[in-house]
Amino acid sequence: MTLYILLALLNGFCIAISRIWNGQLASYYGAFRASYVNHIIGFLFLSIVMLLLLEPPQLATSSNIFVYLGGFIGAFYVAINSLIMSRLGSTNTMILVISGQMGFGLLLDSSANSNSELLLKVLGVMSIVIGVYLKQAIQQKQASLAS
Amino acid sequence: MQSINRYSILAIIGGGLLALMISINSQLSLQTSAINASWIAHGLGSVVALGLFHMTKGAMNSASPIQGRVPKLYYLGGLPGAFTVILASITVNSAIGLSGTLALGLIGQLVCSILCETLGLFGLDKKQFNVIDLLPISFVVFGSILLISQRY
Repeated sequence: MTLYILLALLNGFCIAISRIWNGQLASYYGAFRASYVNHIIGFLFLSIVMLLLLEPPQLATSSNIFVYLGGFIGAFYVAINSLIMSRLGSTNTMILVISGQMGFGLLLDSSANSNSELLLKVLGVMSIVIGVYLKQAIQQKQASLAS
Repeated sequence: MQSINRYSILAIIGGGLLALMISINSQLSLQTSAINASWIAHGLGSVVALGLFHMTKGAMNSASPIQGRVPKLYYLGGLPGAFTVILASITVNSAIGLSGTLALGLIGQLVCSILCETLGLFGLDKKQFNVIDLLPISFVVFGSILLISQRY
């Protein structure tokens, strides 16, 4: 359990670093070219790792092509993100995206056996969204004070 | 106002798609392996991203990106990106599940971005650490504990 919690926290670090580097690349090349570079570098890196580990590439065992949708969503998300970012600004975008992510994640994950359990889960998501909102609000405040 | 609402809904749907993506990739990893799932997702993602890049090429020229040499490090966002799918595949299929993975991932992101900003890493504007920065994280931590605790 503790190991998985640490891995999930480490995952957050990876997401942040990837987003920062990719964001910097996007400021030179634009979001779409940066996204392509990001995906192909990840793909080449994983190909090398699999060669070194002598792991043969496998396809999904089930005939359900639904499981291949993940890669498509990841690439399309860049398009959605740059569209909403330009209309809503980064603050609103981040809060709404995370609300959608946590809410839908809860739905996909839901195994709520009782109303009280569901209530606590919804409270958990709300607390997270409030936290993200505060993060953005504080950032904006600091930026306006600095300028 | 109407257009704002439309984009807000799109943003929420976008977030939902991200949760779906992580869930799908971890299902794929159960049928193959975590590394293999990340490899497939990045391979298919590369094809789609290349297509999107070519489709938007004309439209993107109007924006004025920064000119000059790109620091080589910024090309490597795909490396931590590759680990993201691997790590999420492991944790989603563990006791903490999808919501735990998402919630703890958020804490990691917040801590990491504060760290990078405080140290002024990766070309970010250096910002002095303020105790008030801990307030958002405490809400996210509290919410995460609620979510994870309800899995038992």
